Amino acid sequence: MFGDRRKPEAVLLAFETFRMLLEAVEDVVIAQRVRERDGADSGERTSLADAAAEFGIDLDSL
Amino acid sequence: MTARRRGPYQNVVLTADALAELRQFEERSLDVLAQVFRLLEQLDNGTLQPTRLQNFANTGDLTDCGKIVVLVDGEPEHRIVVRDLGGSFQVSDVVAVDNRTNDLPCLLAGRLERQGDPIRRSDASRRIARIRRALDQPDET
Repeated sequence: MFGDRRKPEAVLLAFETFRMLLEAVEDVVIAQRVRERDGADSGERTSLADAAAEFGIDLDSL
Repeated sequence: MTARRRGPYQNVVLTADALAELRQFEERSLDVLAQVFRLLEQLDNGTLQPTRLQNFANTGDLTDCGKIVVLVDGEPEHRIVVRDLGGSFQVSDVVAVDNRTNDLPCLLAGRLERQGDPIRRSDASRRIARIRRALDQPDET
């Protein structure tokens, strides 16, 4: 940790630690979106087969 | 998360929001759209398992939710967010996660701060309600 007059200003992290931090932040952001989506959910659902048909995708050929 | 196979393409459903996001993919990149469906097909037939979201106190327990990485040109650019419904999956979100390293300060400074309070209040309310029930006292809220 770096800083001046006991005030932390920067941190040097191991890349693996930084990567883990990214994963954690990503999960928090995703969780926020899940909460938002839950709150505004219309209840409408589309099956995978119907969704693929809408986009002209043949699931059997993937 | 364990997928119990019911039949071809009967184990995955998409929310209206997730479907709307896929329509945007259709306009931007058919390759990404095909990759998303390839992964959803694998999820449907049980050959792909989502990575569970980590449980953080300030977001509440979302360990029934998971994410699937969508690689574009070998790089992780999107996440398919799914909820385990007990043998089947509901796709609730397809998140673009572009250049995550550069986004980190923004995420930490903005989105985490913005999303914190309501969820924390919600969690606190649930805890208070649980304590009240345990004490057999009427809930005044």
